[in-house]
Amino acid sequence: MAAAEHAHNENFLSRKGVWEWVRSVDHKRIGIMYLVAILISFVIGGVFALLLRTELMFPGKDFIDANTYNIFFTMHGSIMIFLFIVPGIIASFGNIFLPIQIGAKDVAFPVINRLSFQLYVVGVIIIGFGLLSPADTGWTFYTPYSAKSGTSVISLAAGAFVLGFASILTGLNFVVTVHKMRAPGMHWTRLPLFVWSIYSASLIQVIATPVIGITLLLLIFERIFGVGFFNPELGGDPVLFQHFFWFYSHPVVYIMILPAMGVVSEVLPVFSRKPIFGYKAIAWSSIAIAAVSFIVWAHHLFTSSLSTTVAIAFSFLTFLVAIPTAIKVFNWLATLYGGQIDLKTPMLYALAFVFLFAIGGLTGLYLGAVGVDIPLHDTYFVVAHFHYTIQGGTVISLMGALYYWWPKVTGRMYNEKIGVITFLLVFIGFNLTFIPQFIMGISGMPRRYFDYVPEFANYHFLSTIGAYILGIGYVSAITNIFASTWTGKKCGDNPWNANTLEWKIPSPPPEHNFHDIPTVTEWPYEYGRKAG
Amino acid sequence: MSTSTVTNKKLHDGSKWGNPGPMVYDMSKFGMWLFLGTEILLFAMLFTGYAIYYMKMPEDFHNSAKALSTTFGTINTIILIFSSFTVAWAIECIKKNKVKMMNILLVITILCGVAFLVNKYFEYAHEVHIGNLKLANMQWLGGTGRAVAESAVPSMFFFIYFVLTGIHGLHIIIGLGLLTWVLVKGIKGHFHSGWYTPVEIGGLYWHLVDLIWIYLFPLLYLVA
Ligand SMILES: [Cu+2]
Repeated sequence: MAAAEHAHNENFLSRKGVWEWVRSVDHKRIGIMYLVAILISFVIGGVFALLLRTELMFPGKDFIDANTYNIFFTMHGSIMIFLFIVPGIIASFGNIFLPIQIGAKDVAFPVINRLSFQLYVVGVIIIGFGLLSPADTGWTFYTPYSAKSGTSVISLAAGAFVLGFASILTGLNFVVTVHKMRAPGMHWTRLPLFVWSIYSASLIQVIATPVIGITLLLLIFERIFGVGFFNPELGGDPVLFQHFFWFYSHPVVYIMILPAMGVVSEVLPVFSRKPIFGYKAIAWSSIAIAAVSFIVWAHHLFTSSLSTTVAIAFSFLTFLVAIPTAIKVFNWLATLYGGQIDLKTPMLYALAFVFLFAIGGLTGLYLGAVGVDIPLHDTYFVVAHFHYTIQGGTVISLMGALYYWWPKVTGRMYNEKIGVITFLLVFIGFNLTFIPQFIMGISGMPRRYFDYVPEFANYHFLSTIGAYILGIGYVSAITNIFASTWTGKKCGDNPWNANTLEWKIPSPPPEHNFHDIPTVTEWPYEYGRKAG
Repeated sequence: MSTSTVTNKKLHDGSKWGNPGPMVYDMSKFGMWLFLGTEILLFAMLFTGYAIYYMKMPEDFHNSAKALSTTFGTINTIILIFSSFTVAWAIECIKKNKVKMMNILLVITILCGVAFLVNKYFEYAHEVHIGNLKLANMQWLGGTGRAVAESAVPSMFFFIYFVLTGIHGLHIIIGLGLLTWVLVKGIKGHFHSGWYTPVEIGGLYWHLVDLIWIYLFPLLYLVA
């Protein structure tokens, strides 16, 4: 094989030039393009967050008016959700490492994989057009306001629709890849847990995304053709929009969080030199979370015309999510127990994930209980809960993934000292931002408000200071890791002494991953028991 | 498999992206079935909307549906069922290496699809003419809020009719594009009994489009 001969000295980054990236169907290049794209979106969405926090630092109007504030929180929400966190870990590290971890040369449909990224770019461009008259509906597009708002709701919705398509194609590709392309001996019970989590999240992508697609399409029809599906003036039902919307948007939080859990399940055993505890429980709990995620959506509608019986039913169903989630957390803790814990930066992020996500998950139970949710609904408590799960969960885990896997991608090690310091900035900044928001929420500070009563002034001030620290932390942490691409010391193929397949090939990986497809003989978590 | 008919050309063995032909066939079919699953879910939401509004306002549905022409609908149903049959036959043909017959059947299938769309166009024109459909209030970027009530379509049934048949029509167009692509490759002689994955994938998609219409027809035309 000609490809195999020069695979020795050529890696997947060897061929330079923009065109090589644009035309590439290599899953690793597509993953890196996704990674760069989502991190740029993260920074832009973060800037909007800081603008919001700056306005909220002191009571009253400081530098933007109330309408601009509405536009800014819509931009913050939409960019962070649709452009950053939904593609998130799946499209970036999922693309780069899922095929390697199962011992395949690429995904099942490489051209469709490239199409997914192209659609992502198209979606971004469509949303970009909307900036001519930015939407002010919030990322949730609730009708009837979204059908009437004089802003460019259409381009935001159409962009999100196209991004949904990109998401379906990625998910579909991964499901087929995991089913059909595993290397010989890579039984389902030997799959790395990262693969299990990406697989579960991909299933949700495939099942849930069409629903948001059709919902957004109906909203667009409503605006263009005057169709009255959700318009009460025409006999439509705005609450139906909320049902449709959350039927997707609840499961989608598991599209965000499952891959994050997968990363943590990889990092914890490597840095505590112990086999993962409860492999099967962790793997199956991913599938269980995916399944349960589809029957809890109405917990977002406790205050909008649900009957008491239905509300109580959905409340109990919501509690069910806590079971598989807790199974994971306990298994992670058991993995740590008695291990030789090595506090490298990826491990710090993984531990922070467990801590922050536990807070996020437990506060979710408050919100899932009907009685407690009524007063807490639409307060900063919800904002803080959501950010603890999705930022404290997914974003922290994404940072961990960056520090864990980027040395594999480039073959060069980052600066550990800066890694730890920036981690501390992120951790402290994060808690300083959102703990005051929990307190404000319980005391009744409503979310999405431009102004507030003086009682909340101190909390808002602290929260804003926290947000600045957090912003500095993220930017310097990301700079540190990317700088290592050029300035880092060469670190060999397996700096962490890890067992999954990606660590058994050269860094950076060869263009077709494996010289010969490996035969797998054991699961990847034999740490500590044997030498190495 | 007989390769005697095409001796001067190297036959496509079906391998792609470094995977052997049978594996590509296997993966493509699995992928297509998953994709069809997403399509069904997409329509399932619209059917859910239909069910909810039907329960809320059954009279509106009965009365409005009377305005639809059952003749138009029936003709279109027959056309699509027939085209499903021809595309299935085309797949059987290529399995037996009858390339020419496959191409003819694909052409017939595509013509059926076009006939469906022409028929649909006249139907829409008719509905617009008698005022059941109004494509009012084009509003793209920005603009101000609008008074929906006085200009838009008066009946929830027609909203749903318009949305369901519109999205289904879009699928017909996509299906036609897919089948045309398959046909072009067929004419170029890409397919034979050892490699016909795209024909089967295209056929699967076309079956789905037909299947959805089979559900739309009674829900929209026979509900009166
Ligand atoms: Cu939810």
